[in-house]
Parts: sequence; C-alpha cells; structure tokens
Amino acid sequence: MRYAFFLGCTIPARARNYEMSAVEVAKALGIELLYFGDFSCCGFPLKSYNTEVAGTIAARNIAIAEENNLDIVTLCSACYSMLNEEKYHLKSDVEYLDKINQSLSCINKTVRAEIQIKHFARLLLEPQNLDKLIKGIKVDLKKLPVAIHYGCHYLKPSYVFDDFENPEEPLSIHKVIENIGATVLDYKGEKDCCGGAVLAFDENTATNLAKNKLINVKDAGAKAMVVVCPFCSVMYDDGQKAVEKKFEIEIGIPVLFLPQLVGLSLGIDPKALGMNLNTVKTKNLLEEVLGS
Amino acid sequence: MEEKRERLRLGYVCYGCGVCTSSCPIARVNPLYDPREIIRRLVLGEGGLFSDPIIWLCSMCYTCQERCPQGVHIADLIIALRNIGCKEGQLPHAMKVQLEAIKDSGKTYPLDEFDMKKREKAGLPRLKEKIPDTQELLGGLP
Repeated sequence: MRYAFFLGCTIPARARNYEMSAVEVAKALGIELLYFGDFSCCGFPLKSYNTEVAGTIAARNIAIAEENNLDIVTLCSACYSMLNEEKYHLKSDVEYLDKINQSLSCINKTVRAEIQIKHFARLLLEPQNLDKLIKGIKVDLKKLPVAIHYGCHYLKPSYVFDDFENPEEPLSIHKVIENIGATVLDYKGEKDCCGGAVLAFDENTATNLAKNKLINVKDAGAKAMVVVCPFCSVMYDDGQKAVEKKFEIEIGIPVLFLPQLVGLSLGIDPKALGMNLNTVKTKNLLEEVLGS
Repeated sequence: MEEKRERLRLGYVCYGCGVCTSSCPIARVNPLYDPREIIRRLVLGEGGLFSDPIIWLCSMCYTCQERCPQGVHIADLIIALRNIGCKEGQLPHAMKVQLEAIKDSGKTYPLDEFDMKKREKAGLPRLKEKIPDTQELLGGLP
C-alpha cells in the first residue's frame, strides 16, 4: 500500500528518530510512505486562534493528498486528530465544505474529504501488516516490561473518529506490543495527558503533569515508556532531565517511539531506528534486549 | 454550520456534576483550573470570560468532553472562548509566536539549513523551508 506521509512540524525538526524508525518499519512491511514537500502544519496549533483558519489549513493538506489519490498516514497524534476532525466537519456539513472550498480557491485547491487519515500505530494493526510484522520478528524482546502512553489525540475527541476503540479503554497499542513479545504494564494515571499543549502557556503546570506520569511509570517497574506522538516525547524524553532536576528525583526511563520498539523486534539496526537520537540514553536497554 | 453551533449551545444543559473537573489532569496539578466553573460562568453569561487567562490552561485532552454525562462539548467551548479572545486582540504571547511562524514558513518549527543537514545525516529527505500557500491563506490575519 502507498500513502501520503504526513509529518507535521515537530517530527522533521525535533523527532527525526520517530520518522527514521517509521520509515524503516514501513519498508520492512512493504508499506510505501511518500513524501510531499507541500504539506504544511496540520492546523492544530491554530485551533485556539481561529478554528476556521485552522480548518482551512487542515483542508489544504487533505486536498494535496486527494490530488494524488492517496490516503494519509500520520505519526503525530495531534495531526491525526486535527485532520480527522476537519474531515468529519467537511463530510457532515455541506455549507461548511463550500465555505472552506471558497477559502481554498485563491490557491487553486479543492477538498472533498473522501480519503482516509490513518495513524501509523493503527496501520500496524491492519491484518496484512500485522501478519507481516509477526512473521518478520527476528529478536525476542524477552517480555520486556513497558508502559504505554496513548496520549490524548490518538483517541480523542472520539466523535471525529470511527469506532476504532474506546478512549476509556484503549487497547490498540497493547495489541502491537504484545504481538512483538514485550509486556505491557498497567500503571496509575495511564490515560493522563502529557501536558505538551500547555507547555508554551504555563510551563509549571505542564512539567508537573509530566513528572507525575514519569514517577508512576517508574513505580510500575517499566524498563521503557512507549509513545506515539512527538509532543509526548518532548515532555517525557527531552524534558525528563529538567523534570529530574526541578523535582530532585531520579527517573532514567528511556522513551521509545512505537516504531523504534517494533523495529528492534524486526532486527533493524538500532542506529537506523535513530536510537542514538533519544535524549534518555537507550544503551542499557539495547544491551538488555539485544544482549550485546 | 448549524450542527457546529448546536454543539456549542449544549453548554446550557450542564447540571454541574463536576465529572469534568474531577477527570481533568490539569485541575489535579493546578487547583486554579476548574472546567466546571468555566462552564458555569459561561452559562451565567459572564462577559469578558474570554479574556481570563485561565482558559489557556486547558491542555485540550478532551477527557472532560468524553466523560460529560450531558454531552457538553467542554473542550470545544473553551476553544471557542479562546477564539473570541484572539478576535478581541487578547492573544497570549505563545499563540502569537506560533501564528507568526506558521504565517511565515507554514510550520510551527521552521526548518533551517542546520535542520536540513541533520535530516540528510539521518538519511531523511530535505523538506521545503517555506510553504507559499500558507502565506497566501494566513497573510492577511492580524
């Protein structure tokens, strides 16, 4: 299958390890991810400014994929939610669709909102991909205990998504991880937000949220945390040192993007998965998993 | 457009149970933030709520909205309040910075030559530094 690969803003600048590992895993599973330089910001950060402006930016991105007859695959959960939310409104409201198309006419674009917008994590669960993944496993993860952070926009607002899963009891990432031989731990506050969206507005509130989650993950005995959104990683991986210093605590938990963990199980070289780009060092974890 | 407006009108059915506040991850770490109170003030018609900085503490996690037994679109309402605030010229500094970056480059994190080099080193393709369409679409905004 071929997809328009939607990166958004944070990944190309701050989470190249997410992009690298997704590209590698896709290659191994025969999924073609095509780059489009014309994709812009998804529109999410502009929602608070003006939802219609944000929607126009989102619709333009959808229109680019439609021009190329491709469904979109995103890595960032905010992009995933924003593009799906826009698609939902365009599909359910003809008047709104007309209005957005009027706005897009000055750049010669038209949107129909007929394509699918999928998150990479969910793509892994499609039967043909999951089948290839299971057959391609080369490394035994030896039941490595990990804590999943689903984050918010991978699941919510649920009214814009299909009935893929219940946001109160998400299981999709559990399924991927259990299929590659790691163990998923339950922990307190599992569904709590990373705080990323308030970081720019109130740093103290945001880091307090991140701190609580990191402590809970550590207390559960996790050897790694798994995320599917670059901003969650900004909070837990990039921000972990700052949290440790500010609250005088020790965490030291590597934070992996889901395709990094999947890539390890597929026997892909850790460097190609960008493991050396993670802020919290992954060396000990890799030694434990790969035994080298 | 009617459906969107209808969804926001639903604030009036709030009966103040507080599931939103007790579910709110922000309220747990910052007692100043209370979504039930925001909805109450909104329903009681408090003018100027849009200029209270408290509305910018919502992390848009949507937990309140998912759990509201009355189906109040709490997060969407808070976003609507922010939209009014911005329209009235009360943009928080961080919002201004993001808006300017997207206006100029099409991205919140513009990519410079340094980033492109790092991308190349990682075996990733170069990307455009600027997206002219977004300048066209956003250029006239205050």
